[in-house]
Amino acid sequence: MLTALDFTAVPEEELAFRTEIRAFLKETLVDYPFHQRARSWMGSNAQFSRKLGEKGWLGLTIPKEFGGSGKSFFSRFVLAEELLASGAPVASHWIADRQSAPLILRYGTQQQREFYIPPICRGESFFCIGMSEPNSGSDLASIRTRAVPNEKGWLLNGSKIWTTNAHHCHYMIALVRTSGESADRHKGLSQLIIDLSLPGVTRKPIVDMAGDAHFSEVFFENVQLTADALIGVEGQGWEQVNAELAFERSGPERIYSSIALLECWSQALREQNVRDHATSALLGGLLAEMAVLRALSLAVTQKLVDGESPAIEASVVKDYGTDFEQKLIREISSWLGAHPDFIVSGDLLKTLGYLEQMGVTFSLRGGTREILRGIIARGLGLR
Amino acid sequence: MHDSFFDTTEKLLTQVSTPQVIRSIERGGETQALWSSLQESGFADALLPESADGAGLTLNDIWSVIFATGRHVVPLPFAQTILARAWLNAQGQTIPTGSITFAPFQLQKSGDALVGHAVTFGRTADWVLAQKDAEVWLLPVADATVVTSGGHGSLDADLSWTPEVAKRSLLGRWQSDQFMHLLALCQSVLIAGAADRAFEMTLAYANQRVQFGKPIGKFQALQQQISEMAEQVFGARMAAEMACRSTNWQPIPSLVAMAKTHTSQAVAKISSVAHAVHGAIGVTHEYDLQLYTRRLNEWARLGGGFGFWSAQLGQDFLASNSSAVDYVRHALFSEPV
Repeated sequence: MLTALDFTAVPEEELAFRTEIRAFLKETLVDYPFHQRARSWMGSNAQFSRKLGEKGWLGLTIPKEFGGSGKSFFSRFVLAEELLASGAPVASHWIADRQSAPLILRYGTQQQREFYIPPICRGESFFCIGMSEPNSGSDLASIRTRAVPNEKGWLLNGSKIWTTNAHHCHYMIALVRTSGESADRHKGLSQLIIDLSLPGVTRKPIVDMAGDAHFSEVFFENVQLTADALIGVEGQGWEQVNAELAFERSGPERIYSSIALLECWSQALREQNVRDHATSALLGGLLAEMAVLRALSLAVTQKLVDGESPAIEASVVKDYGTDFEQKLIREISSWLGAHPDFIVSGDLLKTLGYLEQMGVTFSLRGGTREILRGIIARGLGLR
Repeated sequence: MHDSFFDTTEKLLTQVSTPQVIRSIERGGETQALWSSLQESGFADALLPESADGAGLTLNDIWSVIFATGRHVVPLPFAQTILARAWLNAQGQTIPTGSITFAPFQLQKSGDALVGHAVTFGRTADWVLAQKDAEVWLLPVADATVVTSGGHGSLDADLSWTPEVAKRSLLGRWQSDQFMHLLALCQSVLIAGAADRAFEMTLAYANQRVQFGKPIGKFQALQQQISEMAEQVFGARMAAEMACRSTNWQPIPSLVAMAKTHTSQAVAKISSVAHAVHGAIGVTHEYDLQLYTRRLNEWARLGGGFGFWSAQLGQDFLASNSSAVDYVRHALFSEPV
């Protein structure tokens, strides 16, 4: 049963780490405009990711024997918060670091761990997550991409779509059917690690309405995988995916997607000395909500530290957080409309324009608003 | 959450602040029995130092006591009294017997006569700590003319004191505002508590009420609304818990501003979903939901609502020159920048 979350402070010993990250970002992201910062975990920069790897900041919670740093989830929270707050281009490594490495650590064989995880921690190996298909969006259990066992391993056919960053990645961890039929729903699904350089794999970037190509369609035509492409247990893919979502849905990226806009706008307010009641009230309301969301996200982090799998609590944070991220865009846009004489920089307008266009995806990606609320309802005992 | 103070308070209030008692007090019934039970709990002096025969606890220690007080919509200013006694003690003032509420707003002075408008718990409090500009009074409600000020069942009142009473009740002069934050702190935690209770009732009702052959909670349209309500209720509770983060009896002003802003804005959604799920039964006098939602609606604006406190927070932020993330970390999480 889902219950309320208690306050947890960021442990004080994380402060030194934050200072170190900040110094690095200040040096690395000189003159980086807000509208680029707004892209953040949709902005790819392999070189930047490798730099983080050199710093030992990828795979932060991964044990040292696999190339990680063996640090706590709070360290990871601080790092993620600093990267997102500064709008660093983290897309290249984001999913490998957040989900793939922890997943392989948890469900992989020793051999898989040794093979895949160290390059992730070095920022040399990037992963994407193959979930949606052309005919399977929110109804994920209806997927049709199938891997049939053969003498060499698995023969894969089908396609995935809306896969974030697939065209820049080395591997995909895909949820595919390995046994049974579509009617079996959750039964018979497995997770496979697919080397995207194999023959038979075609990637087609999809241009989004902001002019970027942040997601792709990926086709598999008789792709021959070795037997050890299977991660975890055959037929247990659904359970594994759900455990993984606790990592995906709880983090500060569900609070800070529009933060570049808030920072850019409030900087302009200060420059033009806007201090009136209504503007202050709007700002204060947003800050209060941001603080509460940060506290909720930290409370979920505490559950990860305690070894729990807070998938439902993470859905609360994501649904609530994306609502805030979208509200921020609406409110600032509406404020600008109400103040036509306010001098607006091109950077602010580009930032707003990007977020207005792509902000609609915040409550779609990683589970739609409606799906998340269904999960919460189940957690509350309504389903 | 399930600390022993919460459990103790919850157990006590389940017995003494029952819907029956609340209805009776709203009708003007006697308050003495309830107040005696609350006083016997010992929490009224929770924040006083041991040297003053208190428990020497911090606000953080007893946040769940105030939360439980909200859950049971205690019709007396119990939370306010805890804070008021701590304030009086800290100022070296004599602490009176009985319950105390705050009146930091809407105090009118004509000559030496005083009128406090819409004083929260004005109908049931024994004392009012009031401030107008630099003057601070500790006023006896027994010597006031009391006129109910709120809607049906409200415990708020307009209180008038003669020049003679006002003059002898003057405590002294304080340059800064003394009670605004204390009242807002109480109200934000009380809101979170009452919201929590309204949510419990809503969830139970959704599981129990059958229409179209199944519990209404099985319908997606209601599940979506109730999930959203859950987020708001959890968020309000988190804001309230944060508001009480303090290593002494005094709340941190920026945290109070955050919490009253956030809990006040959460009320509209919480109250409307609670009633949407309950349907007609929810608005009846006989059913208990209205005991909570009526208070929630009042408390959202009482002691300053969303627009007042959010502006304080926003102005503080604009004056700070910090980034938004750093401001939140520093002012609301006490993290060093």
